[in-house]
Amino acid sequence: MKTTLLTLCGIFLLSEAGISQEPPQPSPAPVIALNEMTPFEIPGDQNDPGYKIYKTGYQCILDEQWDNARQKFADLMSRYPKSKYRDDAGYWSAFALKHLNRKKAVATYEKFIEEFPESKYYDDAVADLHELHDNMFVVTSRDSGEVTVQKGKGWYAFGTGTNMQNADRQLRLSERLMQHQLMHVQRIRIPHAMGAPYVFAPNNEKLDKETRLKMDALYAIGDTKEDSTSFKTLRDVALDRTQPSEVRSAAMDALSEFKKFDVLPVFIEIAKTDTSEESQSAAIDYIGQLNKNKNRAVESLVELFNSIPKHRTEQLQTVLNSIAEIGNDNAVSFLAAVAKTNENYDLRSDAVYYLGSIGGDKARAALYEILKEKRNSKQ
Amino acid sequence: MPAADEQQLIVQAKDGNHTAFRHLVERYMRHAYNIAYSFVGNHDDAQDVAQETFVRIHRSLSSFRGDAEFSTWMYRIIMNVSLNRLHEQKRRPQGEMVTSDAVKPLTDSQAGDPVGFDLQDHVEQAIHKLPALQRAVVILRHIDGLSTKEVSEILRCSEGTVKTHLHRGLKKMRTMLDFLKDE
Amino acid sequence: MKTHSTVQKLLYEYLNGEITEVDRNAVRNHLASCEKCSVELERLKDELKALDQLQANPSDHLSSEYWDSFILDLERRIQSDRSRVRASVSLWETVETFWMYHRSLAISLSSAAILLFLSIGVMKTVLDHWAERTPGTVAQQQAPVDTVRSELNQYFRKSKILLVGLTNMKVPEGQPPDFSVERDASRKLLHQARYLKNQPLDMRSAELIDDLQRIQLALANMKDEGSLSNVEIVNAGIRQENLLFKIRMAEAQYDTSRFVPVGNNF
Repeated sequence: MKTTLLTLCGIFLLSEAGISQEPPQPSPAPVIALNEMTPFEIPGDQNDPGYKIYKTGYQCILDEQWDNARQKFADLMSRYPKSKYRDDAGYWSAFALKHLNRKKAVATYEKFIEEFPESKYYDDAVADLHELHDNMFVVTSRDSGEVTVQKGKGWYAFGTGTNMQNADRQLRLSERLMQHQLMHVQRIRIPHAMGAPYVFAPNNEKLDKETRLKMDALYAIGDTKEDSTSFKTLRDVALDRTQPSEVRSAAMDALSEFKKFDVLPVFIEIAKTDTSEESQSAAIDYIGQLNKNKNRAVESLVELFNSIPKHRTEQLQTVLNSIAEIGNDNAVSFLAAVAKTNENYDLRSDAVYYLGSIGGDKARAALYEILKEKRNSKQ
Repeated sequence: MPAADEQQLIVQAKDGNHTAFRHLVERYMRHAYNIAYSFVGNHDDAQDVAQETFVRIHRSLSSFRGDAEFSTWMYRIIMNVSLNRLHEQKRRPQGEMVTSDAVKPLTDSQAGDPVGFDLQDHVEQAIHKLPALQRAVVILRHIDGLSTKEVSEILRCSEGTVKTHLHRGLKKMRTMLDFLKDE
Repeated sequence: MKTHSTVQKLLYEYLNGEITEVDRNAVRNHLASCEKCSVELERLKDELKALDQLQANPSDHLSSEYWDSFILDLERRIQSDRSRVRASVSLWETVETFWMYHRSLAISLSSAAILLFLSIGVMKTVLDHWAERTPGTVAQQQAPVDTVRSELNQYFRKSKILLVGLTNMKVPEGQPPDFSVERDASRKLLHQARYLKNQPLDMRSAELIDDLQRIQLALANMKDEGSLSNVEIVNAGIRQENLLFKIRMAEAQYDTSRFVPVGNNF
């Protein structure tokens, strides 16, 4: 919930207010400044000289001066090989290389993953590496909402090398990202200086006036009061299979904004039982974006995942994407299980990417385990 | 446009009604653009001047008392912004001052009349070579068709001054056109 | 009896018919007997005809899409003008000021947390009701789309770098941590976010920017000393909202180097 984040930020700022109340203590002798709340205590040399260089290198990264950054980090690694910041230097070096030479970057990332399995950057490196293989050119046509794709190179380092299947998988991942843009009704927020704050841009420009009017009306219902009548209306339209898919999408979109009502069951029903694959995908997407009842949402999505026939890879991937979007501990557990045990290679590598993107201790631990196994099995 | 309708829009816009302000903009934006264009002579500057005008209108809408016509007020602002822009133009390399950019069309009526086309081009050049105030008066008075009184309200000067500027402006244009014809 | 110069000054009004009866007669009389001024009249007629030929409406050749984008650009300019000219134009900026100003006050943790929470809640409600709702207009986005896309791309890219650095932060022993880099970067990103929020955006990007702004605001105000626990709290928030994942998805969406929209329709 956004309120959680806000509260957290509030607490942080106020604790800062509290701390700044204390008068500065004079320190007659060099003392290790211990803040009893810090979780970051790491035993080592008192003054890590690598820290300063790391910070200047990091600044270069933020300024997108890739060459300078790499120089600084190379400096750090050669002059202070024992610094705590070696892995920071290694990661950001690879990151900078991404913008200079993709091929070398891939090799550098792979080396980093080998060399620093304990690093906090491990998950980020895995995700970055995965994205590097996303070397696709996607050709899109706005009129029909179609996505035609031209393949570039695409091979997955952890797999079996160049492989047309892998390239296809990459393609579909890219396609799905574009689909989020193209296939669904997009709600656009227009700045309120000049009037209407919400408009929608249906991506199929061949929509007739009546359909547009219907969509208008649905958004109007959603925008006014959140009461049981409007909820019911929107729900009925969303579930009504005789309605055109754009209208149903508009209803789903409006529903997804409802805070006081439990909209999850509506989306689950559509995701499970609907005859239109487009509506099913839309519903699955919206489940991933809900802010309430995350555990229940993950549960439903897992159930859905297990009920979809194994050959429907695309749908399975959509569900996995939604689970990743929720990204809580339960989601991470499930993704880890998929990454380890699913028979479908595409799904396994998607799950690995998602674990890397979500990050955090749990995801990192799972990744390490999975990739260790992969490495061992290769040998 | 009916004055009462516009009055209402202005009142609403002053109250902070965004839609009302937008309607005002929609009514006048093309006009503002055209006037600006006749001053500055190219699309980019005209667009910029027109937008800057509305920004300033928005900024000081609360102090608009409504005793003058809204359009007069708008003209005044366009003029000021255009004149500033002209000063900036002077600092730019000479080649940019007189432009025939992509937006300015070659209308059908002129395409077939080579002499007419030349003259128009020359006339435009001539206008843009006029000193700012004379250019303003020529444009407002003749191209925009405002009366002497209206122009004097916009420029906040006497009607006599307006007439003088017009006269001098036209005279100067003639000198330039003669010069151009002789080339 | 009018002099040549006086008559010539009246010629324009004479041709337009914007002249008093008395003056008209006077001019006519003068012209009847003055060759010079008659020639002058003819020349003036020619010039005015040439002036008339001038393209009076260059705006006619601009499409309606152009005018739609004209208005959108204007919106942006008005917004940035407002924040420049007025002191605390948005509640968001008021809250910023509140945080910076009250940091040194002795406020108990719980009551201030409630106050902050409430004020943000109020702000959100006010912002929600601020705008008028007029559904049904199709957004025309053609003209500024490319600039907004690349700005968004850059914003997400840099925000990601900030978040990755933050979530993997290690604090040096025996040295005060240095947050100047993060503070600086956050301030710049906040500035960019304000601009982006005044562009038409899809809802998901808009919400993501909102989330990122809160993080950046916290970082922008962070002191060097005693902030380690605060970093931990912010990181917990990032995890809670799954922001790293979301920002990667958003980056992929707007990364023009990865997805090349080709074709006449763009």
